[in-house]
Amino acid sequence: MKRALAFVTTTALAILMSVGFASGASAAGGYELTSIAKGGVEDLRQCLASSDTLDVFYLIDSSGSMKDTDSGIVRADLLANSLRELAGLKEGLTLNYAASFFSTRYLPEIDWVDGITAADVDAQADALANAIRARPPAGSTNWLQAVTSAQSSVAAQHQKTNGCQALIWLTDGGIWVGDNSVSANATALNSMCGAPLVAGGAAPDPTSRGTFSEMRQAGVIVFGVMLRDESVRDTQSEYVKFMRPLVEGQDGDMNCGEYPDGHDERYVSGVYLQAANAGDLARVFLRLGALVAGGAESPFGPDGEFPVDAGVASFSIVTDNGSWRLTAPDGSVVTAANADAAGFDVDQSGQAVRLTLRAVRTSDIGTWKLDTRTDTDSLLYSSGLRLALDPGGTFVAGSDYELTGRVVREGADLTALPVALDANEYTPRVGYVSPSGLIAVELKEVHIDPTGGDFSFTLSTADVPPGSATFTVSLTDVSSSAAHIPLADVSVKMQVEVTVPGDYPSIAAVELSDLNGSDGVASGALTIVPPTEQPSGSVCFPAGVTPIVDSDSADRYTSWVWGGLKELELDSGGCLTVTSPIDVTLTAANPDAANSKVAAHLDVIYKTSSGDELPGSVPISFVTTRPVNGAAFAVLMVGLLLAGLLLPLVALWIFSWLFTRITRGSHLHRASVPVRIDASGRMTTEDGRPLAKRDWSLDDFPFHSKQPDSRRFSDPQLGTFRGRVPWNPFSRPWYQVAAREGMVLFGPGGYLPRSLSQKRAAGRVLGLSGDLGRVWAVTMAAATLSTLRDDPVAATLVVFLRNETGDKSAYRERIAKLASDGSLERQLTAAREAVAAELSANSTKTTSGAAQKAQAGATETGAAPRRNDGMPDSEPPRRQRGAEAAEPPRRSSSSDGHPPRRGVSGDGGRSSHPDVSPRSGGGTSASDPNEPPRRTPAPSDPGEPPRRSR
Amino acid sequence: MGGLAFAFGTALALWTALTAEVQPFLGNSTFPFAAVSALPLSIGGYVLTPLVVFAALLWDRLAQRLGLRDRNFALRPAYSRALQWLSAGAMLVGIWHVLNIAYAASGT
Repeated sequence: MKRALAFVTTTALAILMSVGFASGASAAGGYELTSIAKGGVEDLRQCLASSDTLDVFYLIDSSGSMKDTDSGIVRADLLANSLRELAGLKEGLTLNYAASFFSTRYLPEIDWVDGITAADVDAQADALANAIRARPPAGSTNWLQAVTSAQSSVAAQHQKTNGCQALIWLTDGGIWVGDNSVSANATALNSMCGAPLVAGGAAPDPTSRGTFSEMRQAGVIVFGVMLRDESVRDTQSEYVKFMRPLVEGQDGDMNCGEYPDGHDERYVSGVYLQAANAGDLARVFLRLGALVAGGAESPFGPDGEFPVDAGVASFSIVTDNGSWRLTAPDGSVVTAANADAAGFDVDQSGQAVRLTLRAVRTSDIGTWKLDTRTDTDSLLYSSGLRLALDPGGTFVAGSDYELTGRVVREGADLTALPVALDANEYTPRVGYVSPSGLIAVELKEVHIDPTGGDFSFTLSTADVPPGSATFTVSLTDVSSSAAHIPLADVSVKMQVEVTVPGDYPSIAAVELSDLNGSDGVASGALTIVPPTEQPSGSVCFPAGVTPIVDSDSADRYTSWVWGGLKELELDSGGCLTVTSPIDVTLTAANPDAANSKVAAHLDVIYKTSSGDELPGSVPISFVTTRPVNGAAFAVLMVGLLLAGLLLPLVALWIFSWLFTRITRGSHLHRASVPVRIDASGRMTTEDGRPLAKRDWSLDDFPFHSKQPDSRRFSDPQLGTFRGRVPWNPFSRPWYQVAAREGMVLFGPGGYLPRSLSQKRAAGRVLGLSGDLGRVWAVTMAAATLSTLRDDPVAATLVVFLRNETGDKSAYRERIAKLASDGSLERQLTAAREAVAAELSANSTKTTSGAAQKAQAGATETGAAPRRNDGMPDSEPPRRQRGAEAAEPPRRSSSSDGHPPRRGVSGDGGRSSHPDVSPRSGGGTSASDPNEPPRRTPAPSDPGEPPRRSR
Repeated sequence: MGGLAFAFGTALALWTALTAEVQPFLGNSTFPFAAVSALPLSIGGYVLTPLVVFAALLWDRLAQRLGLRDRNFALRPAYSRALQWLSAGAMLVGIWHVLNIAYAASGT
């Protein structure tokens, strides 16, 4: 009865499969993987079957568009969950991971975290999710910088772990490099592709195989996930289509990499996935997890039915329906409420849910039904089969070899279970990876214990060349025996050494020493060993004695210089007879130093003495480094910095110094006028008249002799003029006049650096324009400042004027303009306070004879004359403006009997005042031709301004 | 001219930065240098920033200084200020180029 029931059940399942499910293994809803992508998933499974270490690099788009395409930041949980799933892929797996963002530029986030296991992955998954949530979306999508940076990081990690490697690259938009020009983007795409993928850009470096091809060759399985939400505007949409050919190497007529016509078995494949929105992205990742774990997609039958038989270890369903409902073969209903009790694991990412039956039990065999099935739901079966090979030892080329191992089945809990292999159908295959692809190896005998899973395959290795070879042992065309449910292939790779038979000569693999720098030479011993069973044999070099470089991350495929083998004495056929061991020192050099690992091979044909031939390949490998000469680096740095930075700075300073000169030039007039100035800064003539009320003429403004522009010169009354250049070449130069000893200066202050602010406040320094024709200043004895309250004090106004046209009104306008300057009061107040503070601080000095002398001098030159002009003592000077009628008549330039005079030193040194006689020479004017004519200063105070003698 | 030189020099700095990879340096240290094959770009960037930018600054100072003697010359202090800032920025960009040139040229 049982047998009859089993027959009926099996037959029904078979019919169900053939009718309902025979439409192929297309994905039910969502994105369907290409054959290349399925190969990439298989590559990862295959690698993990041979290695217990997995490096995963997350390269996550953080461009501004992510806030639209994934506004809920679903990707944080998805990628975190993917990390958890990867850690649980295999018992004993050590997971290492790193994460970086990219937008306009590459943004490293989490450096490699090593040694994660399934037990402690949660903390890292949470850290990854938190990092993604904390990263604000901004910027564009610079694929080139992101991918090349990730490639470098993954390559460095591989040198450390030598494990399986995966790069999960999530983006939501096309490439955007630099200025987003067609040329920039196309050039970047071509560079990553390794072939002219896009018109309008520069062709890739002919020696480069492209970034993605290099990663595939290096065993990095790239999972490129494009979040393509058509409802979100994407200015880069035209570039989206290039992601698949980059990742998988091929898409229609778009090919990338060194082997564009198809997948090269020596290298891994890439996996391109596409999601239409954040919800779809969740489904994609849940499906991906199931696929990598060994699942194979199958369609649902009518009304959501699907079979399960003994050949299935577990199954998974990915659905968007949170209220999912399954009906088991026995009619029981499984929902989220009782899923765990029914043997299901439930994983949720966003709105997507993945149900996984942990391990199929006898009661689970039969027809299941997903009552809530929709078109986007996916069903994945897993056989749980795994191949375990016994250590391979050494193959002898041309002879039969027995490969042994066992097939085990793992449930979802990864516990290996006894397997009844007759529950599955499969085809065992063995191949070796050659430069031209996967070459099948003939299986002369196949023995598989259907109960325990032990197997032995007798291989014919006649076509396998001697050397290091990678064998792939697979169970292909796997399906369940009863319902013919298609299941994922199972395979494992094994590295073996294939030696030549005893009647052939042989050459072992060559490991050269490190190649250090462009002048270095890598060397190693290549020994040609004669046949062990014959007196002689021969080795031929059909492609010459120059090794062929298979991989060099520095892309130096054409610049290698090999040595050693050319010294072999080959016959005309390119062969060498070997009767005794021949040692050759093989050398490699390259003028382009780089940090890289190089793999090469030398094609050979081994011949027996009777003429039998055996093709072979001698693998050659070595490491190259590019040492940096620290001293040269330092010298170059300093030299370049000097030449590029310091010298320009010095030149800038010298330039400023050379050109910082006070312009004196021609048509320059200078007036020196005794004035009285009160505390409010109002100036009058000595007789109390407002300056603007006086007529000013050439007599008052004698010509100043023409002098070259100068950085430094002295004015007999104002002091020393200087053009100053700060040490900081970027700071502005300034022009100043420093008052004579015991004198102070006030005027329309030009720029002065902050360091001179105190001196400026005290009236000791005055900032100027660089043009002397614009300068005017009032100078007085410093001691008079203390008496400057209500009563005006004597001072000297020195005014320069450049009057190129000889305009007679220019003199009056010049005086009128300066007389209206309102800054003098503030300057006087500040200076008085500064002097008072100094006097207070140096009270003993202020009472010294020198100060009293200065005061006396000031009184002599300033205060006394005021009393003599007939003005009432109590009357403030400003009231004199209205009392112009009371002003004493003054001499005009035309009535004083003196003709207008021009020039000072150039014409005999006449006085600026019509009532002042020219000096007879000597004194200051004799030493300084610029000095205007003035009266002889009082002997007691050489700094006193000139005044009339009375 | 200074602005263009700065722009091109900065663009070259970005371009070379795209080729940068972490490389073994002195001792056990590492540093992200631009690819050695990008040396011509680094030299170009070095010439443009800061050399050309500084030259433009000098030129501006000379022109504005000499212009003081020409009554028809209009001073452009904004030019000087802009070039001054560009020169300061060019120094920073120039250091990146200097680093890469020194690295590329000091490899043995």
